[in-house]
Amino acid sequence: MVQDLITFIGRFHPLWVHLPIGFLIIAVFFKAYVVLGKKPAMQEAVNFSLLLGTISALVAAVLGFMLSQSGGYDGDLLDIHLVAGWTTVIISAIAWWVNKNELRFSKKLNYTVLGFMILALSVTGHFGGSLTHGEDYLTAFAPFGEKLEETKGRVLAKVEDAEVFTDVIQPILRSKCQSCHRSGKSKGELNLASYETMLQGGENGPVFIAADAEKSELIRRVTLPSDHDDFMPAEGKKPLTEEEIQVLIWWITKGKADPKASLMDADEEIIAWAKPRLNILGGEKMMAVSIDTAYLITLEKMGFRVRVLSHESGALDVVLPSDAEKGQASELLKALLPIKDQIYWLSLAGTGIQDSDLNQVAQLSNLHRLRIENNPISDSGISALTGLSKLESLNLNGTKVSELGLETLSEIHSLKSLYLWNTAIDPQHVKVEKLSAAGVKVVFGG
Amino acid sequence: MSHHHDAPLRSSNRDLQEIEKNMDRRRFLTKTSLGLGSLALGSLMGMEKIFAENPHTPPLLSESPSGLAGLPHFMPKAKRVIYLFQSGGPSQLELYDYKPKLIDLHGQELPDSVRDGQRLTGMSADQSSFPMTASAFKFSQYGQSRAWVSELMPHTAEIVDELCFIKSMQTGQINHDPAITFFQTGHQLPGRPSIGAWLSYGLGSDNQNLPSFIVLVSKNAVQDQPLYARLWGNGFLPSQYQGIQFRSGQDPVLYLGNPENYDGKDRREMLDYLKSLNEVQLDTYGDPEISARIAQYEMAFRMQTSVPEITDMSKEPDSVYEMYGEDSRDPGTYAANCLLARKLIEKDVKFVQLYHQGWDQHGNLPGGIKNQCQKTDRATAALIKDLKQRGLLEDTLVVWGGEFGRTVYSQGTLSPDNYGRDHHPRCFTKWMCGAGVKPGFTYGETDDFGYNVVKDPVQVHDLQATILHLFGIDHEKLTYKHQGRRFRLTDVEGHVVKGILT
Repeated sequence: MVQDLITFIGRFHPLWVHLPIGFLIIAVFFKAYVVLGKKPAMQEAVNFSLLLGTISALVAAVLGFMLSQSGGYDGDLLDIHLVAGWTTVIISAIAWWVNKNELRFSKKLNYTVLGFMILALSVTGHFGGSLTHGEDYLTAFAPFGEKLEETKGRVLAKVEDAEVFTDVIQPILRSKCQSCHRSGKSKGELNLASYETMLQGGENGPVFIAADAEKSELIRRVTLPSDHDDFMPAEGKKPLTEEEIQVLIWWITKGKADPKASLMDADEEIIAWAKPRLNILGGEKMMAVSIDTAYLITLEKMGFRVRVLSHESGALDVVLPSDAEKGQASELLKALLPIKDQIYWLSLAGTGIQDSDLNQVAQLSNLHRLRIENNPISDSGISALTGLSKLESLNLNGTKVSELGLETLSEIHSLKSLYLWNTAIDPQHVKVEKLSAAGVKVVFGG
Repeated sequence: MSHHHDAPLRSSNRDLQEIEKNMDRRRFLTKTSLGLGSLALGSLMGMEKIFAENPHTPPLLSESPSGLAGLPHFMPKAKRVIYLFQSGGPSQLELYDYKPKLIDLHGQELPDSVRDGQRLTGMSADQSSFPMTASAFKFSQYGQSRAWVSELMPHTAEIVDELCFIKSMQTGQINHDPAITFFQTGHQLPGRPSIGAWLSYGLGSDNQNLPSFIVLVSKNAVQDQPLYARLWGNGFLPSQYQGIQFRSGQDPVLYLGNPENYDGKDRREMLDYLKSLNEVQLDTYGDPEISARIAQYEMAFRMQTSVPEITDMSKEPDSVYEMYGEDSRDPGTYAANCLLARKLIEKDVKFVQLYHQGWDQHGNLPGGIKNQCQKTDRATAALIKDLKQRGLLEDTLVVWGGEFGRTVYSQGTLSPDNYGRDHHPRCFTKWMCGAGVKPGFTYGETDDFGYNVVKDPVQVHDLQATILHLFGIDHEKLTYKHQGRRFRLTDVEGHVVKGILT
């Protein structure tokens, strides 16, 4: 109860501190006015401001001490702030005394004391600010010095090196949690600065339980309704996004909270979301994230229909309508090559494309859904598609593929659904059954 | 001034010159300063924003590549949706929500503990007795998912492994119009944009030649409860996003054809001229409805070719008509509309909304619902099968259901072979199918009385949030500012039903 009251009163500290800052600074301005403006009558005002400043600084220091008792602020920063704060109180008292009796002491001494007072005030204020906003708050966007990477993690040579915790989760924690939970200001005795400190948990115990996201305090806190008392990040701070929460859940459940879990083992959507956020060496050129709107418009003028699927990954859905001029398809397909890694869904249904055209389709490395139904395509054309390692859905309705072509399709391990309506393939064929056994949903009509 | 003199049309046309002359100095200054301001604003907002909002870009750019800037918010699963709205409130107890315990309870009074003080409609509140009523129809389990379906839906029973049943739908509305309005617009009072309008506003069109939101109303239904065009209206969104109704008969879209003795070239000339007049007005007043009007005239002109093409059924083989049922040969029937819906989906129309009325069986339910099922069951199942074999279920979502369910107690007297059921908002069944939803799956449960939801309730706003989610839209972020407030489809509610997503 008493502790609560102390905390309650202590929380007026951030409000109150502005009083001594204002009083003491205005005292110095008054003093300058007295000296430079030759207005000796103002001397009284200087005295009065310094007195108010001293008293309010004392109150601020007491309030600050009470606030520090509530915990969450341990560390070197707090010590410096505390010492500097009390120093300010003492120096301002001295400054008042010296100023009041300026005739007894020297003017030089008076100015020196006032100077030290402002210095102590600045030091106190600076470290107080560092405590609440974080040490890099002031300098993060300063034009000088090195800029702290806000969300990006360490520099990686390639995507395959990325670890879920270090390269994806750490940057999230840094931007959303560490302003309160870090070395120097561990609210709730929780420090999320590193894996090791996370393991230690906070005052309510561990923050995560490997393989059990539901019981993990971290997940519970960020998924509560935002008006709940326990919701994190605390009031007014930016909440975690849906995707960020999904990454945390994946890491705790499927990643078993292993700090070395590879990003490549994560779900497809997580990889797609995380990829553009990684700090990959010379990465900008490799990543398919920037959407070249002007080029997409060029494609539309050629007859394609282009739709952005994800602004995160730059994924595109491209359709060549079947009423586009027949026989033109081969020529038009070349125009897709500059954005070949961005095409996730592609439909060339009924456009008259031929076997040879599939060599170009085969270059679209991120293709997930491909519709090439109702075209004069045969087994030899299909064989080009085996390199599409992400292909999940393939529509071959109304093509000339035969059972032989199925052999090559079984090499696409990512394949989930295959459409073979209006083909010569026998639904009972052993190769069809083999594909079904491998988890491919094979659809015939009727 | 040079801006005006550059435009070739203005100098070559006397009427336009006249209008231009009428533009006085004050209006010129207002207009140009606004123009400069919006230009600067546009460049601040980035290129994509310009494409989305500048009415002066040619139609190809304004409708591409992605509707509103920044949408979709995340990777979508669905590209298009067919919403098979069963208007009137089909009885969940006769179709999908099997309640065997009711056979024993048949004829007994509905316990007050179950009703729990619920307000009833004026149609049955005065009844002296509320006898619980078992379904007159037999249920069996089908498919690998072992889903219960009644004998009324033999064809739907064949496709249960494609369907995702939601048995725990709930709504706050107990009368037809507010309940349908709630489902279609997210609010029980008229005036808000329909879900199809929201989707076309957010995502734009995938086919320049057809509207992105098309509505088909069955002509072969009992039209006991009215449907209003505002159910597919644009509300406060720009009017080009409203649903366009295709009708049966000679003119699928009213006033689309040219008048007699008036050829297409004249029409084009007239439209060009009208467009330039409208553009002068747009320049002067900047009213977005003027650009909506220009877009609509252009769309209508393209539809003069595309609509007869799409509604021409002569190329469909007999096997297709066999699949959808004999009705499908008669344009405007539910079956024909299902077939047309498939054709529209093949052309990448984003939202096809079917309405089939007549599910409001207050009395004579067994006979009435049997008739309804005969008209719809076969075609619904055929549509799913057809979409599946064409590979279109990969990215097409199908939604089936009405605006509320029906009561477990009989409205009117319960006789050995006849009964009725009143409106029941506390639980009813919908199903979804296709892009991004779990096939062969059942979500939510009702109690043994078929009266209350006991597990995983789904609200109307939840369903709407889920549909938007499947299109890659965060339902909280798709908003439109109107009369000083930002509105969204799901108002201030709605949670994505994650349990039904693949």
